[in-house]
Amino acid sequence: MSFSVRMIGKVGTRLRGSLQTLHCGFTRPHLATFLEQVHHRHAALGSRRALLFSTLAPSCDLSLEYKHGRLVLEVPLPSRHEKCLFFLRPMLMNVGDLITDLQREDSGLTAAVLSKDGERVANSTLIEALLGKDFLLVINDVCYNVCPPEKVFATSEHATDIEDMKHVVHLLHTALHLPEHHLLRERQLLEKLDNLKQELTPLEKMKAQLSQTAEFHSSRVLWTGMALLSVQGGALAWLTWWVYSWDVMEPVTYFITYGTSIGIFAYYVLTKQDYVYPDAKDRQFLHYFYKGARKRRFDVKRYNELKEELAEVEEDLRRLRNPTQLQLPLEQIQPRP
Amino acid sequence: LETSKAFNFCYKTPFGLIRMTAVEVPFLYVGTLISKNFVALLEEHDIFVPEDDDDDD
Repeated sequence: MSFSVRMIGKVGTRLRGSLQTLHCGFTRPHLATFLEQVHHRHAALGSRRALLFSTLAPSCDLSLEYKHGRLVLEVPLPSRHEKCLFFLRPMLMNVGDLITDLQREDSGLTAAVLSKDGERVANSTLIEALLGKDFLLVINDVCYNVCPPEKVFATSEHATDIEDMKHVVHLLHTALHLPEHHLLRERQLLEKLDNLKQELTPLEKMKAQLSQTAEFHSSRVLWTGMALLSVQGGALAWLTWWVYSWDVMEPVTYFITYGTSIGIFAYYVLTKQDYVYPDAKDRQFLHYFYKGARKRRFDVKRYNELKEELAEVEEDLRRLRNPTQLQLPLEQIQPRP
Repeated sequence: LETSKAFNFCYKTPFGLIRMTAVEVPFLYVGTLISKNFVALLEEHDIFVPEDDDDDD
């Protein structure tokens, strides 16, 4: 309810304002005095006559927008009664260039660029500075309001504030204290490295032993496989050439081969691993390794953790050492391959 | 840093060939023994006798 009342009030004041100007027009019908009044009110326009509106100014007369990444101004040329596209370069062109281009395109044209308040803009102003707000383009006494589009490439130029000051102070502090900090950090890392290596030495020994026995066991598995293959070969050869003939033995050999392929597929189903010799051997190796570790009570998880920490510390040291000797900024952490 | 080294992929088992023949030949013979016993077993229990099967001519 109150909202509509407020709206009515606003509309009423607007109407009254427009009525007043109309009233002025009616009471002093003489054109010259009316213009004089106008002239007096908008002295900034100088001797130019301009269209004035009693209601709100229209939003945009000329289109200024980005087409294919370039800024384009569409201007209706007065003498040719057609619209012309002008491609602007905001960072390179200034207002004087634009006016020169307009005049070159249409010789009977006089143009001027005014700010929103009606003040004239200097010719040396870059177009970029103009694009912040709406501006007026006056062509042959016809005033057009131009609204620039949303900024596509905004510069990070801004007034210096407290954040920038803090940033500079931070930079100074870093520049003064960084080498010292690097040396301190290096010493810390070296200490950590020593600790880790000390803890790892007995574990490394046990791991080496376990690896050796596991390797021996898995190798034995391989040679057993070799033996089984030769047994099968010998048996079938004897049966084929000395006892029965090939016609008897062929189906037997086919079913033995088929049985082998069933076995290989079963290997995949049970282990979720392809049956390839290196991987199968590694799998056996790990099996024997963990069996041995369980028997000798070797904490594999702890060992792995220590090894990972060691790798990290060594990597940090490597990153740190180069700049300490060369006084260069640190390189970022690379993802491990 | 990547260096193009020529890696030595050729892992050679020491005394490889000798060990291989030492495993293969005896087990080949073991295979023939197994098959001989197997044939004798089949003939004994009369499951499959070769002479009775050659009557396709």
